[in-house]
Amino acid sequence: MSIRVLIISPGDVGQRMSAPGIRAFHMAQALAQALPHARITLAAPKVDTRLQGFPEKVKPYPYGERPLLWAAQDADVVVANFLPVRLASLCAHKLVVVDLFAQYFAEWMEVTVHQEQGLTRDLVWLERRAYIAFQLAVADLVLCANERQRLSYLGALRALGLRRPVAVAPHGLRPQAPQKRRQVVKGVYPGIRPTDKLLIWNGGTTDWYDPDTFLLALHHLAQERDDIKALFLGATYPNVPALGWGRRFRSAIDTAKELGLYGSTVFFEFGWVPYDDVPDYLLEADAGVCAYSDHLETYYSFRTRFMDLLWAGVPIICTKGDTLAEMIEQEGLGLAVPPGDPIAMAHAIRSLLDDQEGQERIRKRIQQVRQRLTWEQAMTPLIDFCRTARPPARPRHGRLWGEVFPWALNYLATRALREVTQGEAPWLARAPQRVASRLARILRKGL
Amino acid sequence: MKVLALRGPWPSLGPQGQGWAEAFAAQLAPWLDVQVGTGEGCQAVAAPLLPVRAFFGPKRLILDTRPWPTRWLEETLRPKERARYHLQLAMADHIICESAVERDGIIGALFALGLVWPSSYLRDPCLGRLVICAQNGMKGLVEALSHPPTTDRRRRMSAVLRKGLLSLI
Repeated sequence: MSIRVLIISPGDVGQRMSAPGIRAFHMAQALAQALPHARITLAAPKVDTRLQGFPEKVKPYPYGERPLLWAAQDADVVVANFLPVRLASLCAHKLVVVDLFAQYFAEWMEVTVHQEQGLTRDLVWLERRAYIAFQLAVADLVLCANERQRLSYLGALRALGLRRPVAVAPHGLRPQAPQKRRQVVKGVYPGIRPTDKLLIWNGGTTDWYDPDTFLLALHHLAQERDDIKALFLGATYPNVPALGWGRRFRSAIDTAKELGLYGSTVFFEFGWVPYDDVPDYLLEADAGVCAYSDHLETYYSFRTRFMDLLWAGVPIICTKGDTLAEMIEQEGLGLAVPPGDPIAMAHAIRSLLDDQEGQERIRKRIQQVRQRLTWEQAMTPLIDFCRTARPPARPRHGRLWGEVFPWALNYLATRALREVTQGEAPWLARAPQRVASRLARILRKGL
Repeated sequence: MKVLALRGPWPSLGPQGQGWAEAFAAQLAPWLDVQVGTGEGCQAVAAPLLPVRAFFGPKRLILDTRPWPTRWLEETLRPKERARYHLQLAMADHIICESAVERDGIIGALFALGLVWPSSYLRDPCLGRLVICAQNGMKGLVEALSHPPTTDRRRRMSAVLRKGLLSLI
């Protein structure tokens, strides 16, 4: 019997997708290629099958229009970035793979400390912690993006008294070769000449990034030359608008204005560049730049934005602290500078852009590295798991009641408490209305 | 600075002697600035009946996990031992480990147990003063002791009491 795999993406899969959607899309591609007999369904709020390379045999399931439970009941293996709590009972009958491609404890802590204050901050944190613990409890296999994340999740699992395998499945590179279709920045953007050197900040600007160091470095360089331009590619995160137009992004615009760089040296692409158009921008770039502060989120991170830069063969200038920065430094794929040091960053930008031979050397090394960063290789643990997966012979009620439900209840209780303290109606009060509106929508569509 | 370092194990003492050692450490606690638990001596840092020491005890409690870090985390899978180990993590102002590998595991455990709060994260965003890697010497501990403790004692107390009560069951 062929195995039925359901991949659930929390974000849209289509032209405007961020890391979770991109990951789910390529996961479906890799599984479809490696397991030709498997029946694969890709569920997301919206799924656009016109996306380049969308596998024919993958069934799209837009759960913005249909209940996710229907698709989940028809699967043997459920792969989710975050499994919705309402599907908790599935783990008694199905195999669940939770794809935690960031160290979410550290990432959400970083978001919490910057976005919330006082009691709400503590309650939001408790809610988020319970949600991650629920994901760990519900999983039969936990996927993460690097070895540091794996060790920390193993520590978390042990502390919670859970035995679950944790495998490293990093982000991969797009399978097709990068192709330029049209000129989009140099000579097109008012203020950027065809002969200028272009630096690209690929992706959004969330709380844990440090655009100020980059902007100060550009300010330093602008004193001596006017041929270096920077483009911030992406402001509004698809599905999570607050994450894009957050404090850090607004402060980056303010800093660029204060330094007199806005519109002359630094440019912002407001919105989100369609996935198939990203190569046009990257192939014009002389280097990709990303800076972040020295904290735990950086230490555990796997910067998915670097993958597209490597795919397009663009040298990278970044700050030290994470595993990819280590790889960039060790394998000579760019330059890594200490965090919070604009002078060091300015020096790195200058030395890279002015050294044509050095750039060529880096591009050649990137070509070599690309061979081992494919999605097929990255997803090997998931492919192996699905290949040998056997759904539980008997319902696992002990696991459900003893390990999963306590964390689901913990999450729902802390969430209700947080909502009440924030003056919102708790989820329990909103639930009947939500169910009714969902039912009405389904009936309207005649499903 | 008055420091008491307790190094275990003490198999020759037997269970009664072990209890006396823990009680002795507790008696001394109010007069100490720093108490370090190493090996089985960690048990004395966070003996189940002594959470009150978070109020009256030494100013800093240091948990040195180095002799058996992997076992120390593996032990938590046995339900009876789990609360006791959680208590130790909750009580400690600083946790010393051997390498970055063990540090990652301990940080994951601290997050999962709810022992890292936003307020403590703001004070120490790398958790470098809370979980100290001793791979390259004790410079990290000296640095950590020169700063106020990262964790809030009031919050720690609530965690200690909660987990301490569990360990009695």
